[in-house]
Amino acid sequence: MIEGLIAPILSAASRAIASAVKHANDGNIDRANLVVKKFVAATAADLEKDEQDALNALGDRFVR
Amino acid sequence: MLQIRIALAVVVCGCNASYGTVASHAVDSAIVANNGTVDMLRSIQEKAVEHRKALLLRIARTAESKTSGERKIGSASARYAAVFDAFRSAEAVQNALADSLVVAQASIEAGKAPSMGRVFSLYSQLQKAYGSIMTMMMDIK
Repeated sequence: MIEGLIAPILSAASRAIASAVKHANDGNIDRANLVVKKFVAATAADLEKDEQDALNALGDRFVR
Repeated sequence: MLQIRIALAVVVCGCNASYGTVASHAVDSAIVANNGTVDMLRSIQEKAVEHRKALLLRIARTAESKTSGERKIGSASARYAAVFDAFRSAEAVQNALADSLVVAQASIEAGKAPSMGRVFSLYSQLQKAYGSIMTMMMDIK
């Protein structure tokens, strides 16, 4: 299931990156606007809420 | 991923302009490749978060008992924990790469030769981290 979700992203993104790198390599790039991006990984706190929501939903189903 | 590696190889080997132009194009291209990889990591992380959330809620909706549901939710969370640990490892490598790219960019602007060895080494590490995340996510059912 995950594979089905990711494959289209990978395919399109790989093509886009290769094209953009070629564009940059050809010198066709606006260097003034070329900002280095950073990746921010999800923290444990980011994920905790989803787990708590699921536990709450479970608790609601089995409430006496 | 093969396309990215090919594009980077073109950056390193295929240019025939002056050295300064080649170096600046190499830095530009490495930044573009980095930014594309960051976008991919973000997209895949978003999918992982969505998929995990949907799985946890599905367990909550279908569990036969509260105890069984709690156990399954804990187990599913644990399976995903390794994936998100891998995202955090990728973040550390990517931050180092981003810093190296900023230094390389500054070198170009100062008319100096950028140190591309570290940039490509870190990019290679980032690709490995990314590949590891992909493998882990493919294994999650």
